[in-house]
Amino acid sequence: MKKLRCYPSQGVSFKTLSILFLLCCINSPSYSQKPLVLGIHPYRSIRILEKKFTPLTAYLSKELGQKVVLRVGTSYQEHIDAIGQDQIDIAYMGPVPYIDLVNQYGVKPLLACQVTNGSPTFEGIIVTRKDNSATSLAEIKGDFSFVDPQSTMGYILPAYMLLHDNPEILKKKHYQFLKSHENVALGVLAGDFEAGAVKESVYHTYEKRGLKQLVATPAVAEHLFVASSKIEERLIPILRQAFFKLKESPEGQGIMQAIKPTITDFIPISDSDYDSLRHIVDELAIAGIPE
Amino acid sequence: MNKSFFAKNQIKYWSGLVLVSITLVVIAWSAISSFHDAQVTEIKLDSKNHIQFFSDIIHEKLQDKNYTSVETLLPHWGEQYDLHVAEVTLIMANGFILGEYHSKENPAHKLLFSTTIPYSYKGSADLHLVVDLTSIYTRTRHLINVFGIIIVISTLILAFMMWLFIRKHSLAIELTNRSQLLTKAVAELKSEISAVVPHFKWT
Repeated sequence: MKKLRCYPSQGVSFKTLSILFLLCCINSPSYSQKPLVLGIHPYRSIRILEKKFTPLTAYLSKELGQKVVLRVGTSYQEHIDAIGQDQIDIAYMGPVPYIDLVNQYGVKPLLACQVTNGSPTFEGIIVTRKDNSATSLAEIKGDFSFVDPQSTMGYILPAYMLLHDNPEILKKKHYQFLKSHENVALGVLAGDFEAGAVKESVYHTYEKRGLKQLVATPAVAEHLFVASSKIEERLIPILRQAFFKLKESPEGQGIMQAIKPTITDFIPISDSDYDSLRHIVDELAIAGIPE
Repeated sequence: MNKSFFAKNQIKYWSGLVLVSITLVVIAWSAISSFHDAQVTEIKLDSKNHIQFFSDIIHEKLQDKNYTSVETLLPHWGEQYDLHVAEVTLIMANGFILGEYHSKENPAHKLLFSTTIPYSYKGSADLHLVVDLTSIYTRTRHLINVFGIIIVISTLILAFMMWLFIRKHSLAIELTNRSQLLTKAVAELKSEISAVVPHFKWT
């Protein structure tokens, strides 16, 4: 007796595949809406920034129930323009770019301000070599090194201090921009620059190699996350809460430390928290800085 | 054959063997030495090319005031390249070490290369490269051991063969001498017997 074999007809196979496909679509995590874009200013290489912010985008996607994707601007100005013109939905910003954003495009919904080592403010350090006898900014006679014209710690605040204590360096343009805080520290140590402005963490890294603190810059409010004006309003409190509760879980702490190891919390912030820096930026603008 | 004549020749044979051994040692030594020198020359050339290549890169980076990439370049140089780099140090004009690399082992045999990299109008830095020659010396030592063993073994084989040859010849000479003596003794005996028994008939 012949064994009976059953072969599915083409129609049955298509139907089965369709059902399987639908089941897959139902079971896989999907976000019906258009993904939200988290924009980052290019303060490090794109690969490093992707590594730093990918855990946050995954977390925000989960909290919002809407996919959040990461984009890195090619310049600070592009980043300011992107959030200013609402081309991106959420932006991570330094204090000075934030002031520029408000000056150019008006106030955006503020989400959260980062707290580093328990402080919502940060300061820069003006450094020189340990074998330099100078004890104040006024005693600096040689070249000065800054980070970037958009850098709060690496240019705006030290330039403001130089404007008051040693304006000759700015007038005679005895300075250079070295693109990174580490470069400034090494440039000073190498003896190519008499002094330079760096963020605190970089100063501590290079202190044992012969760097000395000359003076600290005024403290200003930390980096912050802002939202686009066009983002759905219901998402803003969810986003804020998502940031505020990061410290409560080890997973959240890991997400914060991935961005920066010293971040300990995210707290509410208002535009007025940047008034002191705004005053500095305005004063520099009057003096024609940055050009 | 004269025994003393052969004894004199024996000295010649052994001297010949010693000469052959010495020649083998000299040939092996010169081969190993030229191999060693060729290896060292190759490493010298490679190191000069490397230091030139890296000093060009460093020059460009210092000219751009890109100190961090110089700082990271030197360990990368030490770790990634096949050249046996023991140390790389970039010392700025004020004595500050901008970047350095030190291998884990302290080499017993090394070569030092240095070059000065001027940049901008007033800057300069000294690049020092220490190349580890231990692997070359190890290879040379290995070759010396191999050649040494080959020479010793071949000398022993030659000596054994020569000893066999000499022994064979001395035995042959001994045999000839003894048979000559025997023949002589027989002749003497014959003459003595003939004197005593004149009509003795030899069968």
